[in-house]
Amino acid sequence: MRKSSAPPVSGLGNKRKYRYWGLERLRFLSQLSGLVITNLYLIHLRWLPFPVMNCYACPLATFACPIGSLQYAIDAGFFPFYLLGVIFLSGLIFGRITCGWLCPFGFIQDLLYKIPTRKFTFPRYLSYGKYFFLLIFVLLLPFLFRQPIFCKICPVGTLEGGIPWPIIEPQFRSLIGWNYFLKIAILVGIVVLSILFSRPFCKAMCPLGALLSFFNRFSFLRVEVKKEACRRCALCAKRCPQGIVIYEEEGHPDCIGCLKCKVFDAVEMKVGVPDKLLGLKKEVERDG
Amino acid sequence: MKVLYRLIWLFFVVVMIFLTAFGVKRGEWKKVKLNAEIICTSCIGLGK
Repeated sequence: MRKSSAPPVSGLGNKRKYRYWGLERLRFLSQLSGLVITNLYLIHLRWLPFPVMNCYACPLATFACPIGSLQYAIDAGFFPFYLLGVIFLSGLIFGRITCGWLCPFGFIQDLLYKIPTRKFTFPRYLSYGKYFFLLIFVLLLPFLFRQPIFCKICPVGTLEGGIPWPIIEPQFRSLIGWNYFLKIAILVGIVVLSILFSRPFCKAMCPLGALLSFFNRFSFLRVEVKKEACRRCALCAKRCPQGIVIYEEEGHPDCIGCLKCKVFDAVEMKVGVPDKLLGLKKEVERDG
Repeated sequence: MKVLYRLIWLFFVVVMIFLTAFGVKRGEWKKVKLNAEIICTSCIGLGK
């Protein structure tokens, strides 16, 4: 496991540093807004599955969790037309940009990653883990056992529901059992990993990220590279928190549209109806 | 080819809007709301 890349603004000129920090501030504000909007407490829009990881068991939750609702539909035995329509419509418009700009749990992981310590690069093969969790824990096991199995291990539920509820309502304390301690252990593991690796939950475990990742190649908002302006210096790749070489892997399933690579002129955020499938043609060869 | 891709994308958007509307008409949003308003003990790790 190799050590992660250099600090994000090293090697950049002043103009690019200003652009980098400008975008970072904008994203921070957007993520903070996402955290507030999804936890407004007084406004209940729990009929709407908002496409971010935010537990509806949270006492403050505004929206329904799309993954929890999907498991409920499987348990209850109805085909979730409404849920899939909303989730896929969000994917077609935003791809995984909601992960990078709105998701409260992604925001918490980003904050944890800012703790100054030695950083590591997340092994890329582990990013297939999120498809495993989607297929097995969200679709197959809830179908077989008629229970929301992913919720039983979800660290978002532990953080937003599992910890606050026994504090607010003392009668819940008597229900604490082995599953509670398992969930706490998973949450502690994710917190520790988030300090060392960038967004480990999003890469290896998030079933919503797995669902939305299929749309990164053809979403209305997407990150594209202007091939003629790209010098293939790989500096953008060193800044990518997901470890993506964007000029070779446009529309990569792990791209969360954070735009840390946008400091370079060749990278742009495209807005509009897509006229091609990103990443189908490998037009550039890897240098060296 | 570009026009074809755009048309396919628009077709998918229309399909998803149709799916959402169909689900709303079947009252699925009420089921989602009811489920989300009950405190989910599985989510918070309590109970069996």
